[in-house]
This record gives sequence, C-alpha cells and structure tokens, in this order.
Amino acid sequence: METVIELVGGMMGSVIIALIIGVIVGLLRALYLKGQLTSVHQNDTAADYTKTGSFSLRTNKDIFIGTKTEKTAKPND
Amino acid sequence: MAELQYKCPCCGGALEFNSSVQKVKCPYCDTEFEMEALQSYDASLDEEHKEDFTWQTTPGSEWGDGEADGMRVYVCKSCGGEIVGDENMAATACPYCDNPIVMMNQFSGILKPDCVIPFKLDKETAKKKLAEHFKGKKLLPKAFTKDNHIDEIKGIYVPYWLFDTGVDASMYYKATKVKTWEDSKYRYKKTDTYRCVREGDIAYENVPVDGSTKMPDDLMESLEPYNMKDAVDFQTAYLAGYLADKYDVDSDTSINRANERIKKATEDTFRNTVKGFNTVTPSGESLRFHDGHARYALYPVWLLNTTWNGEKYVFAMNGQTGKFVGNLPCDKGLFWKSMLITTAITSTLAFFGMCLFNCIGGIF
Repeated sequence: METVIELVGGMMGSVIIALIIGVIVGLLRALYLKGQLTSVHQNDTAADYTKTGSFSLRTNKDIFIGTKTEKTAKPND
Repeated sequence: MAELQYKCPCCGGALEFNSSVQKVKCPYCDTEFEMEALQSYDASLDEEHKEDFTWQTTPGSEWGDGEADGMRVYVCKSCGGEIVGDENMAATACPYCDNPIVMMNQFSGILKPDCVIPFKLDKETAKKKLAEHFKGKKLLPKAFTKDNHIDEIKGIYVPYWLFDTGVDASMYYKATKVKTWEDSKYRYKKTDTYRCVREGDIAYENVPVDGSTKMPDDLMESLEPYNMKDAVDFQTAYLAGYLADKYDVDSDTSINRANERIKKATEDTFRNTVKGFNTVTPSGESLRFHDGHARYALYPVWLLNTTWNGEKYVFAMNGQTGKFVGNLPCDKGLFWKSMLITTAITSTLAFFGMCLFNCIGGIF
C-alpha cells in the first residue's frame, strides 16, 4: 500500500515539476515571439560614431587597496 | 513664399532626383542631368522668380491670435493649386498635379543644411522591405497582413543635427578579485580590493540627433546608423520628388541627447578596459568635452503609415541602408495558443525525461 502511495506521490511530484518547467519554457517562448514584433527602440549609445583610432589611454592603473579573508567552519557531518 | 520646381528643359516635365543613378532624371523623357548643371539652373531661376502671389482672404473669417502662426500657404507653379503646410515644410508634392515642389525660402540663411545623404533606395524597395518585415512573425494577426493597405508611403528628408566632439575622460572603479579554498575544517574566501583608474581620450563624429518634433525620436534612432561616406554638400535639387522638413528643434536643445549618448558610449568603452576582476563597480567619473561642434544635415527616410483596428502604425526605412523598423500588433489569441502548445510539449518531454531518469536510477 505504502509503495503505491509513494509511487502516486512521486508521479504527482513529477507531473507538477514537469508542468512548472513547461509553463516557464512556454512563457519564455511566447515572450520571445512577442519581442519579435517590436523593432523600435531608443539607441542610448553613440558607440557607432566613435572616430576610428581616437581612443587612447594615458592612465591605466589598478591600485591595490587591501585584502579581507573570511573563514567559515564547515558543518559537521 | 517662393518655391522651385525643376522643369525638364527637353519636355517640360517635373524633374526628380533618381536614387538609382544618383542624378536628377526626367520621369517622362528619361533625360538625366548632372547636379552641377542644375546648380547653374538653380541660380538662374533665383533671378527669374520675382513673382508675387498675393491672396485675398476676405471671404473667410479672421484667424484668432496665434492660430495661423505655424501655417504657410504655397502655390504650385505648375497647376496653380494652393498647398497649405506648416512653417517647417521644405519640400513636398502638389496634391493636385503631383509635381515635386521645393520651398526655396525654407533653406535660406542659417537654415541651409551643411550636407545631405541622397536617397539610395526607392519606394518599391520600401514596399518589399515591408513585406519582409511581416515574414516570420508568428504572433502577427493574420488579418493585419491580409487586410493591410498602406495608407501612405512618403520619402522624407529628415533634419538631423550631427555632433562631433573629443572627450577627455577620467573614470574610477572599485574592483575585487575573489579567491576561495577549503581545508578539512574551514572554507576560506579572500577578497582583494582595487581602485582602478582609467584616463584617456576618445572622439566621436556625426552623432545624429533628430531635429524634428514630428518624427518620433525612438523611431529615428532605430533607423541608425547612417554612413556619412555618401553625404554630399546640400543642393535643393536632391529634394525634388521627396518631402522635406526643416528643423524645429535647435542644436542647443538637441545637444542634451547627444551628451547622453556620448556619455554612455564613453562609459562603456572605458569600462571594457577594466579586466581580470570578479566584480567592477564605477565609483566616479569626470568627462570633459572639447572641440565640439554641430552640423545640420538631411537624412533620407521612407515613412509608411497604416491604420488597423483604429490604431495607427508607422514604419520607417533608412533610405540609404534599407534598415526597416516599425512595431507590429500582437494577436493575444496566438500568444496564449503558442504558450499552451509549448507548455504541453515541454511538460510532456520533461515528465517522460524524469520518468526515464528515475528508471535508470532504479536500475543502477
């Protein structure tokens, strides 16, 4: 009897998990397809208009400030 | 208000700029004209056009204060038809005889554009691109493509401000390197903190900002980029056969948008030089613009309007590169149907996958 209940419970759990996965994938795909309908967006950057060869760095420093070490005890098995 | 129509010296037909041959061409007798030849023609017409068309408006009632401030009336030289437009209209076609008209006075003095990118693509290409735009859109209502009749297709020269500037930037970041390890009793996490300093120069050229309030900014920015290699000195002959507006947002107002875009591009470029860290957080910045100046240009845009279910949809195509943009409606029924089908298939696969996994687990 217990085996049947475990089996049914396990199967229900699998069905629920499968449904959750399905709904998430279904929603993501529908939103992706909906996103294909939108092609008008603000272009917030002027990167396309960078003058070729104009970028140069005169200061490139990574200054070490300090270090911090944290120690956490492992849980005993 | 004086307007100019280029008449074919051979047959008298209205000339148009032909984007395929990049010359002004007579659509009636197919004669092609060089732009230089039309420059002298242009100059000679300036001398000839001294006519004064004064209209009596007594039959109508008086305009209220400021009511007609932005309105202009033009007279077609070909058929005498009266065209009412706003103060920013610089080129159009006569609604009665379809003759292309260029409002010469709109481009006099400070309003004259520095350059123009002539149309490279024609109306037929815009129609083809619209059909391609609909393809592969699974949630687009079928009735939208089936019943869709484009109300209007217009080739418009849109006014743009082009900004050039150099940027001297100092950028500061807080960055960390994280290392973890463990022994038999403890887990360790070591965090090294750095202050990263990046200083340097970068320059931008021809950053465009749409200078017309009629054109939605996001629609115009979606059409970018334009390639300035095709830009030429402005001549009114390029406007023949197309619509054109002069700017109604000045460069001082537009500069704020250019600043935002340049700032974002500079931040991204400098941020990409901070490498080898687990986390990087901007902690300060200083941008100094130098050698900045603005130019006034006209860019080619094909605009397509349609109305469906009472809503207006505007599509636009870059008249130089053919990039096509425009938001489409979504069929809610198809949205839920697509979601349900995907959910059903994925859930079934996931369920059988889990069963298979359990069976294999049971065997081993």
